[in-house]
Amino acid sequence: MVEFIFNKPDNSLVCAFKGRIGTDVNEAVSARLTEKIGDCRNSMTEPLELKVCFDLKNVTFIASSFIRICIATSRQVTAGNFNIINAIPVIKKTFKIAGLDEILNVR
Amino acid sequence: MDSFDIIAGEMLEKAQIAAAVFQQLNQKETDKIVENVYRAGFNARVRLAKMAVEETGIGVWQHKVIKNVVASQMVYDSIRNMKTVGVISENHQTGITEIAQPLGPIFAIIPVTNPTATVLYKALICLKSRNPVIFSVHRNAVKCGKEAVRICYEAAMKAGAPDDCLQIVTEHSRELTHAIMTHPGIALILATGGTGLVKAAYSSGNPAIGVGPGNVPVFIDKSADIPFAVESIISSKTFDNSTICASEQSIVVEKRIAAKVISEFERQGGYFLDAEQVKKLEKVAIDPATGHMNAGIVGKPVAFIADLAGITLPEDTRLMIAPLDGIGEGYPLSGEILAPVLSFYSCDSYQDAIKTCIDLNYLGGIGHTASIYANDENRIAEFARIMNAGRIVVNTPSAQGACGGTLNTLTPALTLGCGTGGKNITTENISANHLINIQRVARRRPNFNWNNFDDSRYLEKGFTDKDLNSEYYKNQ
Repeated sequence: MVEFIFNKPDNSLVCAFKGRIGTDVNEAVSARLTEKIGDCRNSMTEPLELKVCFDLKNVTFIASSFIRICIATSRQVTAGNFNIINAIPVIKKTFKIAGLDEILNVR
Repeated sequence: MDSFDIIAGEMLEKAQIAAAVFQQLNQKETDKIVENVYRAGFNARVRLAKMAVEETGIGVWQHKVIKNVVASQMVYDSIRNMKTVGVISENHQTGITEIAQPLGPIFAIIPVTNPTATVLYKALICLKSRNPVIFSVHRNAVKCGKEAVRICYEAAMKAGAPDDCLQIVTEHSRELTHAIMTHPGIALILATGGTGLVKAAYSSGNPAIGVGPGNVPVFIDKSADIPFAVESIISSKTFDNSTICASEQSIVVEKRIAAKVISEFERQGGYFLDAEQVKKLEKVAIDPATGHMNAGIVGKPVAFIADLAGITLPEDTRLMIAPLDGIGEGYPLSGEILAPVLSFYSCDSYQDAIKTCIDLNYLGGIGHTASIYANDENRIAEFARIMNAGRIVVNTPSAQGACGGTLNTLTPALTLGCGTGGKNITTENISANHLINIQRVARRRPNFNWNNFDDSRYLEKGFTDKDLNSEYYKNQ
């Protein structure tokens, strides 16, 4: 469902999601994500500099709760340090319609 | 930004996320949600009907059950096989492919007269078209309206609908309604209610389908089966104590059959008022300040209204009938009254009768509904041509007939388009097909005439329409 890759030299956590991110899986994703962000911060000398990137290359559907996870995660890091990459067109459009593509830095 | 704008903004934010998620669903996923909501709404029809009558004091619970049936079963039957997602039609000959896209968040205004049925109906057609809804239920129907929304929402969620696909406004104020109506995130307002509300919807700057009052004239022609016509009219005008805006308001007949019609009405429970009683009824039926019907009599039983007016009725009276000889100012009962009260016009001739129907039709009911009882096809055709009405119901109870689904093949709906006369873009009964944007993919197809015509000829000053006919349109 999600794979975490923490790149310590540039303080970036890449979360690569996969498949259909429905309401049923979001609770588990949210808990793992919070835990992982905590772990990364603990291992950093400058915790506030953590950058989080959601890679949605292999995601085909997102539920409302996943959008809320994106919003919540973006608020956990310094402005500009959250982005979403590799979204397929339908997912890009989803963020666009929700009016969040700029706020969440969707690419 | 005041508190109403903040509440509106929060609701719209959720609705926009719901709209975004919804547009990812395919037809099968969408249909599963709609089916689940239909089942839940249908199974709750009796409880919701009783709740509505108990809370609003309007109508008859058994009739409200039928309305809930129309709003769930009939509406579902009419939309279940409708294509509302992705490619909905493909024509290789014309090269046009149509693709359905959702509109976005819809603001649905629910009237006190049909609260639970209108929630079920609007939920189904909006979900079928993948649009989230924000409901605003009339302040006197909040409890039953909330329950109807809750039932629909839970059923939708169980079938995989997006979070917040159905929301309800819990705080009632003009300011909040205005803030939601005018919010740029609203894609469409589906307003069913009073004149003021519908006007506000159209003034909001957002697209709106607003359906307000009707004033349905009924012409009983000399060719009509009079006992059948009267039975049909009474069954419609007393249905839910006449809370449907398509219910009959005035009966118009030629003098030559008036006595027969009057006697038939009297036989079937119609009570004709004398001049003094008409005055008494006017005082309670119409609000003198606005000239519109008094909200206190809407959907009330005939005995209640008679008591209020100080009129003594025979025990078996089903409705009161006020014989009038004028329309408009000075004749308050000639307008719309959503209660078991009819006006009655006896006209010198057929021509006079039709002219009376025109006047009634244009007195607040343009584009809505007109009704005729006749067995003469020419009379039906002429009446239909002359009336300005989205629906001309023939030999049918107009309340049930206009809403479709049970007595004819009109699309089942509780929001009836009234055309430009009613400031609508359509005269159709509103359904899911009105809640999608249709994109047209246009493939290149040669235009034979254009391709075989030398278009430099257009530049010649002396080239006329006659030349065009002989050159452009040749070899057809």
